[in-house]
Amino acid sequence: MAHFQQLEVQLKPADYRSDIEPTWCPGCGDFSVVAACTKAFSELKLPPENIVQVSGIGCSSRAPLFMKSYSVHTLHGRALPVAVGIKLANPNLTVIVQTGDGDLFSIGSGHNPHAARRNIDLTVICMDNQIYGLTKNQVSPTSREGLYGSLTPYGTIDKPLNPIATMLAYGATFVAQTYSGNPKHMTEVIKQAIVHRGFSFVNVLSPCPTFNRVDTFKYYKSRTKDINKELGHDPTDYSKALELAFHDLDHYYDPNAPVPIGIFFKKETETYHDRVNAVKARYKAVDKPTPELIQSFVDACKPKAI
Amino acid sequence: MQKTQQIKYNRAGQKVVSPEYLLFEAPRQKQFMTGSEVVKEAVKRASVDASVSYPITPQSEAAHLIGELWAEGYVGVYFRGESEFSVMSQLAGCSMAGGRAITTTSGPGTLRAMENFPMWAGSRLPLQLVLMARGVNSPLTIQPDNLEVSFLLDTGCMIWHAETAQELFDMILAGFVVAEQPDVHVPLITVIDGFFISHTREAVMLPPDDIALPPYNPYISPIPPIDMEMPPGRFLRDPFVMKSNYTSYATHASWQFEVRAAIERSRPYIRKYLKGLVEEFGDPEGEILFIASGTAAAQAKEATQMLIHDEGIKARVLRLKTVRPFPAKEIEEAVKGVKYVFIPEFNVVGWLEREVRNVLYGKTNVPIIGSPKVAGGMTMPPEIIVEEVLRILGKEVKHVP
Repeated sequence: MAHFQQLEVQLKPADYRSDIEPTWCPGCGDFSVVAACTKAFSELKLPPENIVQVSGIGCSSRAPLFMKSYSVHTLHGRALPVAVGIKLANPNLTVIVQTGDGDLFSIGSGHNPHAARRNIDLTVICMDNQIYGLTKNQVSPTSREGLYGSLTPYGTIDKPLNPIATMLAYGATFVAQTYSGNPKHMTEVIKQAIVHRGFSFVNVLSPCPTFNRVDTFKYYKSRTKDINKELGHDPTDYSKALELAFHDLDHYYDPNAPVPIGIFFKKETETYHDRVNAVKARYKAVDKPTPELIQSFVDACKPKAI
Repeated sequence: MQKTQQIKYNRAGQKVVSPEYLLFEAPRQKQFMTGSEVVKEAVKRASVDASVSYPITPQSEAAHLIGELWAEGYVGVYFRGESEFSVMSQLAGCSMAGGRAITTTSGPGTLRAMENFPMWAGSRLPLQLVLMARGVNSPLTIQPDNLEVSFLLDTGCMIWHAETAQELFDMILAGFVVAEQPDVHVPLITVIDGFFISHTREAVMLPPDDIALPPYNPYISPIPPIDMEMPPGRFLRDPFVMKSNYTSYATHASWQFEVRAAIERSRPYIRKYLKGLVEEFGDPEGEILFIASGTAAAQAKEATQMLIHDEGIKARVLRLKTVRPFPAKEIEEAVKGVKYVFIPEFNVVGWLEREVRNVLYGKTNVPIIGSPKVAGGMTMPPEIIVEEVLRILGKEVKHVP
């Protein structure tokens, strides 16, 4: 029995699609993220009413609109804390954060370490196109050096942030990277991320055909390399995962370097709710207090002298 | 005032001229441009030292164009922040280090940066924020609406509201001049109604671009920029809440009043450089008075002409150029002999109506009607203003919007 609720009868992926037509540009990598998510939901037999998808602001954050589940389209950068709130209030829900590189690593980056280190059971899917698309072409923290954006007239001169190494360092217990051009791989990774008990982070390389003319489908096609199948990486080894993650962005500087995709790290350990339950057990907490129990608290507060 | 050496050219090689020459005397040429492009043209002539940017609709284009000025050598420092909260903090740093700094934002970005605005004011940083208003709410809107201004009213910043792109150009330049006066020296938020001004083209008269304002002199600041040992400057280094043993509560309290007093002291400079805190329009005898600012005032002017010419009703507009300082005396004067006051606004709360009621409380019996109010991206055709007036006057409504 899985730790999440499952349907008895499997729904088709199309059943998880809403009637809203996507507003993304033709050729956007995010289309296949929606396809992969719905396929994963179908294969995991997730009840649509038990899924909550939370997003912030940006092109990627429109993804929940196009799927049939509960969803919250919240403020720019605040998808993660809202999702944390939902999971805290109702741990039985499957909570998925659909977000982008700007939301997660620029304006909302302050929330990542704390959600990850607390190991709250969420799945974070970051559609990383290395650009701000919705505000029409500004560089993001994951943009490669020299990429042009409207607020960086000579191209960005900043070192890009490494999403994989960052999330590993923060203590995420499932860290993976996949690629929009490989829907089969992406579906498998997203499925594993949802099944994983704990904080899961999936970075999806999802090219923006409108504004990012460098990191394109054509660019990634010949470069992606499956670290688990082709390089034999063992995702239970944290130090190997970090070492591999440090070379995640090598392809920005070395034309022969591969783009690693696959599961970098995966370790089931106690989640935030496990720790909360441990505290409750230690202090003999009850879910439904009896009148006698409440009376005992009242009696304990009465002054002894009277 | 301390005499400093007069420089002839700024860093971009533009000839430094007096603010009076730049604003009022220099020959001007007609251009046809958007509000965003006008921000660029103003910053180009303002000897700006630093600008920090972060994208948000509808101000991203203005931020982008300031970046082009940096590439052209007109702006000393141009930096891309990572959220409005960091942008406004970084801008404070630029000002504390002695630079003249400007940024732009909109709607939700303003509220994300909110904690910084009272800090700017309390630190007496003469920064300028060009706010291209877009509204704040959920579900999220990307529409013209100036609700965010209501949150800014009590931050200790000056707030000016431009009606047209031309006025925005003049306000940005005059803004630095007024905000940097040693006895004023508070931040300025220059508001325009986003999209209506930022994304539409209009004719603007611009002075030549080889002249510019004198660069900012940080040594005229009322807070010594280097010597932080004496209060109230000291509280920048030793926060008074945590270390009240260094700065007395009395100093803190008086400083709050001092910041507000500094805004009040800007009035004579605003009269000089903006030609007054208000603009009057229409029939001076008008018994219908519109009090409005920004785009709402432009629509009220249209409605005034329709009332005068089509309906034979005497009407006039008192357009507020500044919301902080608030032109209370001017409003008190204007309502004398008036039958009705109408306050059209582009937001749901009616912050201008609240302000006007506040200053007129107990001083007049004239009915104040906070209408029409439109919000969330609706437009305000002058017809609906006319209709509202006719309805209140009990006349037949002929105009159908």
